[in-house]
Amino acid sequence: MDSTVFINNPSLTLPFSYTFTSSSNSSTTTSTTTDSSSGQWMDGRIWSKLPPPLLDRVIAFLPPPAFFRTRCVCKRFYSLLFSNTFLETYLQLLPLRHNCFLFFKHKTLKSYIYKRGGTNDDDSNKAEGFLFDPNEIRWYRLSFAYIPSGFYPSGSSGGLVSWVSEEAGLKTILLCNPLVGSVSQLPPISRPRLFPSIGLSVTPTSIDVTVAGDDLISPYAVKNLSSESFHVDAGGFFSLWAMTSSLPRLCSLESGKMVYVQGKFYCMNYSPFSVLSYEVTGNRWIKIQAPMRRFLRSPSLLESKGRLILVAAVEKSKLNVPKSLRLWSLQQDNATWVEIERMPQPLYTQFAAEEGGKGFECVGNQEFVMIVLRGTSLQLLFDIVRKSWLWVPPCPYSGSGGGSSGGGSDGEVLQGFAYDPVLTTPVVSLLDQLTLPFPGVC
Amino acid sequence: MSSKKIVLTSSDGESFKVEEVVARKLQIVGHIIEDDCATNKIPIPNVTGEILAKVIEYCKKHVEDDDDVVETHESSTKGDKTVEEAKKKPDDVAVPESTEGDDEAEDKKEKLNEWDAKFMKDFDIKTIFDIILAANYLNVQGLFDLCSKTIADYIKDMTPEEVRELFNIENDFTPEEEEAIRNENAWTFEQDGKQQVPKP
Repeated sequence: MDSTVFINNPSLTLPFSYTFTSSSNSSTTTSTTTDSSSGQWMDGRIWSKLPPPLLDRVIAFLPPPAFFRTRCVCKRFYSLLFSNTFLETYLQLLPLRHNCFLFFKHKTLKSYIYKRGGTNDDDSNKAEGFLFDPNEIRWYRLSFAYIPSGFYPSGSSGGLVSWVSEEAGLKTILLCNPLVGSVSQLPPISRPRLFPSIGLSVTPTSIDVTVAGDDLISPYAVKNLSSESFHVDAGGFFSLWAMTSSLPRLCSLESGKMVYVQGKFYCMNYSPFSVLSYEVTGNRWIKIQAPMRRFLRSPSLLESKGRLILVAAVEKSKLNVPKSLRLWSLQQDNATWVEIERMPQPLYTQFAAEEGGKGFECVGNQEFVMIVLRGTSLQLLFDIVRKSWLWVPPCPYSGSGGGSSGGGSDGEVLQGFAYDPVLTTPVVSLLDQLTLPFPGVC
Repeated sequence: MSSKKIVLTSSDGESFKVEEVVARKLQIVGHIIEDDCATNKIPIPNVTGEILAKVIEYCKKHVEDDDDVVETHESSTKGDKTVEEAKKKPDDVAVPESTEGDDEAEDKKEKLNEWDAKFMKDFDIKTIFDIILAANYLNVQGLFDLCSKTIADYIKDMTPEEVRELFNIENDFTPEEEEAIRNENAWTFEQDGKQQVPKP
């Protein structure tokens, strides 16, 4: 039997002939294996009698890295990724989330503007991402070689990662599932932009994308004027960037990031710091005052268990208040902040020494908050539930943590997203319907 | 609340007298009760007494869970309600006052998870094997999933060779196929992702 040539990207066709049989295994295998030193669990005489449907349910409970490793066991396990029966079982168990983080080497805004004159694209930086599992304290390397050149990652939700075209103008947005290498494309946005903030919210039955700020006026001057939103859902409703809205006056959206919490997208507004909130159903923007806004440094927004969390360093130099890193939670009234956590002072002293004033980025997923120190290879993991702080072993695949890049004051930083690895994301089929030749009714 | 008893009889003749609300957690039993059979004695021919005792222990602990209960629309229309089922209404809108209630429910769930972990820890693998078969046959979804997850947690760090050995699975790949598939899923085999580095 000739083996076909494999490429690194997984294909959706089976590489060998295999038929799915729903009949249970009637043959009884008598194994001569004796109990090994690894203990009573290693008794194939017992587990070989487990019927395949029950064994499949065990496989469905595996965290994604283990699932993909198990695909090397036998042809039947390999093919489960393409079995509708298995994937339906898997989706039923999905409330058991595997909360992870996905990091990319990411150039800052200035790097993009500066680079417009040059054509030296470094594709190797875009070709891989780094998956961190906070439950296992473990790093993995994922390939993104199938993403076209000229795109940068902008967000993640529902097992998908969004990528945006770098070119100024009508941005193209792609959605990919990193585990299976699938890519879907959204319709182009309706206004030219240079470096907008992009919010993504994906549920099993809907996709919402909001693009805000940074309308293109000239190659070097930007003004924040408007946002536009995309929606599609399984109920048949869709809006192809028809929902446009004005942002509050004098906005400056530098991070490019938005966080989705209970029907609203949130992003930081800079100089001075405040929080912008976009209500999706109402198509409305409001400005929220940030806590201690004159004393904040490196603020980040993240979602945790249905709440919006703001993380920032606090430096009140005039008063006798020690510098600290704090977390606030936005209350139900969408206006009031309550401080929920403060980094222990000895740890903050250590943190500040390592950070050296270069700033940090935060990303959150459920009970975990990951703090990335810029210009270093250091990350700090905070567990909100257990209130524990842990220095994370640095990612072994991301190269030198933060050498200063030649010629630019802004180096590369690890930019992170809350990412929940999912084997299958059928919601993207809603996008395929939009590419029908019939004009959509907006 | 009435305390009607159901007697479950195992394959080796052992009898267990349980509350009807507990017996309903075994969905196959729930359906028999639902059919309104006259007798309150129900044989469980495929499960031994040792295993049935464990299943019942789990069902007693999880008697308030919603996921395993057979729907009783038919019996709720009857005049004599033998089972009081308090349906938990999901709070779609989170009120600030209910945060304590949410924390309380979450704390209760966490204690139940701790009980589950302890419950599973006591068993040898033959018992786990028999319980998962019994839970599947009796349609006790929560216990079935608990056993599946326990086995999944055990094998999640195993190599393919170890998984084959455990489940006595034949490797039906050719060496070329196996190498190609391993390359395709190479990101899950890299070992240095878990190196330990001391604090700075």
